[in-house]
Amino acid sequence: MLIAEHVTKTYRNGKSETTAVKDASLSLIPGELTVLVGQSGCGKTTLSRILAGIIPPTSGSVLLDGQSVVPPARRKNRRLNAEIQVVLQDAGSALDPHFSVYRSIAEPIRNLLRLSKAEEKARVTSLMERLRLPSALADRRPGELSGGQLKRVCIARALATAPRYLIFDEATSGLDVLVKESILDLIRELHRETGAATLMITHDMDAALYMADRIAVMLRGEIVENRPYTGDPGCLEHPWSRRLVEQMEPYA
Amino acid sequence: MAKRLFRNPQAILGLALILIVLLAALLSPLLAPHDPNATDLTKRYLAPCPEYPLGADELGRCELSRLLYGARASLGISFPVLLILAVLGLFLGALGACCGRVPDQILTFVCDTFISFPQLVIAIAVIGILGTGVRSVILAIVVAMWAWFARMVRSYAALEMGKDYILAARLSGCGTGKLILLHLIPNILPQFLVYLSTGVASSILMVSGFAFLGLGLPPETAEWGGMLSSARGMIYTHPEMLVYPGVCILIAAAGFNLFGEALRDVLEGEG
Repeated sequence: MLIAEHVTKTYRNGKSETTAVKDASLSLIPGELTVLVGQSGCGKTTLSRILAGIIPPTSGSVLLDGQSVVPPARRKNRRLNAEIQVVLQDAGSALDPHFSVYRSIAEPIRNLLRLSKAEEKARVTSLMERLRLPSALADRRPGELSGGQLKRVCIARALATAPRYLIFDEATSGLDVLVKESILDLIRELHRETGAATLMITHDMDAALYMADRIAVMLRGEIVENRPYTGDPGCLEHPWSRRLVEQMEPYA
Repeated sequence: MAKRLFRNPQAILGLALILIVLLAALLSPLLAPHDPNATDLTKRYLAPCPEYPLGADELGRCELSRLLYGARASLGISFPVLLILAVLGLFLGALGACCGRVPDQILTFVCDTFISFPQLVIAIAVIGILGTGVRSVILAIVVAMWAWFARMVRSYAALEMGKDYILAARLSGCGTGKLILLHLIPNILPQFLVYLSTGVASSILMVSGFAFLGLGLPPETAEWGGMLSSARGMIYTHPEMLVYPGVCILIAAAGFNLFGEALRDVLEGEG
C-alpha cells in the first residue's frame, strides 16, 4: 500500500510562504481507483508528485510497503521507480520531441527492467496493441501524433514496467469530449486488468464520479472529504463536494 | 529544417562563403601557384601578373598562395578550438543545470569571473605564460572562451530541465548521465549549433588578432592576421597588401556569422 500521512508542502520564496498541501493523508490501495478532485491550483498535482516521490514533503511521510518514497530514495531505487508510475498532465510536453513512439515506450523498460531486445520489442508491441496504437506509429515523433495518441503513448510508457501504483494527472485535460471518454474508459479497463492501485487527478467532478471507487475532494491544499464512492453523488457530505457536484456539466 | 534553411538567402550566402573558405583551406596545396614561404627579393611588391595573380609581398612571396594557406592556418586552429569548446561547454553547462544548486552556483560564479574579463586579455595572459605556438594559441582561446559556451549551454539546459519530458525521463529511471546524453543535449543542440557557428567567426578573428599583435604563431606562418600586421607599414604605398587579408577575414567571419544568424532565424520560426 502507498500511504501519504499528514503531508504538508510549503514553498518559500524569500519571506513569503505558500502552503500548497496542508496535512493531507491519502492511501492508494491495490485494486482501488481513487479520484482526487478539486479546483485548479488546490494542490492536487503537488500531492500526487509527493506521493510519487518526485518532490519531498515539507513534513509528513510517504511510505510504500513501509519503505520511504521521499526523494532521493526514489531516484536511487529501481524497484520504487518501476512500481510507481505517473502519467503527466501535458502529454505533448511529457514526451521527448526527439524520441520515436517506440523509443519513448521502451525507455522505462531499458532503464528499469533490463530485458533482452526481443523481450523489449515484444512488450512494446503488446503495449501499443493494448493501447490501440497502430504499429505504423512506432517510428513517429510526438509532433506527428494527435492529442489522444500522445496520451495513449504516455499511458503505454507508464504501463511499461507493470507498475503496482499508477497516477494519472489530469488525464483528460485538453482533449475533446469523445477522446476524453475513450481515455477514461481505457483507464478503467487498464485498472481492472492490472489491478494496480490507481490515483486519478482531475478538476472535473463528472469524470471523477464516472471513474471513482474512492473519492477524495481537495480544497485549498486540504483533503476535506475522502470516502468510498458507490455511485450515488448524494453520499458526498462536505459543502464543497456538494458544490462541485452541483456545478458539474454532464457530458452530452 | 534543412528545407527552410536552404530557402533562406542569408543561409545560402553564409554557406557559400564558408564553402569558399573551406575549399581554399583544403585545396591550398593544389590551388596555390607558389610555395607560400618561398622568398624572391627580385619580385618585391610585384604587381599582379599571370604568374603572381595577386602580386608579391615585401619579401617577394606570392600573395595569393599565402592567402590560400592562411585559410588553412585560421581554420586549422579554429576548428580544434571549437571542438574543445563544444565538448567542454556541453559537459559543464549540462552538469551545472542537472546536478543541483551548489554545482550550478559554483559553475555560474566561475563563468561570471571569466566573462568579466575581456577575452583577448585572458588569451594574452595565457600566451604570456605558455609562450607562442599553435598549442598555446588553441589553449589560450579555449581558456578565453569556455565560460561563454558553458554559460550559454547552462542557460538553455536549465530551461529544458523545467520541461515535463525531463521529469518523465527521471520517472522512467534515467540517471544524470543518460539524461544529459539522451535528452538534454539533443534538445539544446540546435541552439548550440547556432552559437557554435558564430563562435567560429569569433575564433577566426581572435586567431587573426593574435597574429596581428605578434602573438601565437611564428612570424613566417602564412596567416591572415599576421599578413595584415606586416602590411601595416605599407598602408600608403601598397594598400592592397592590407585589403587582401582583411577581405579574407571578413569573408570567413561573415560566412559563419550569416549562417549562424540564419540558422537561429529558422529555428525560432520553427519554435
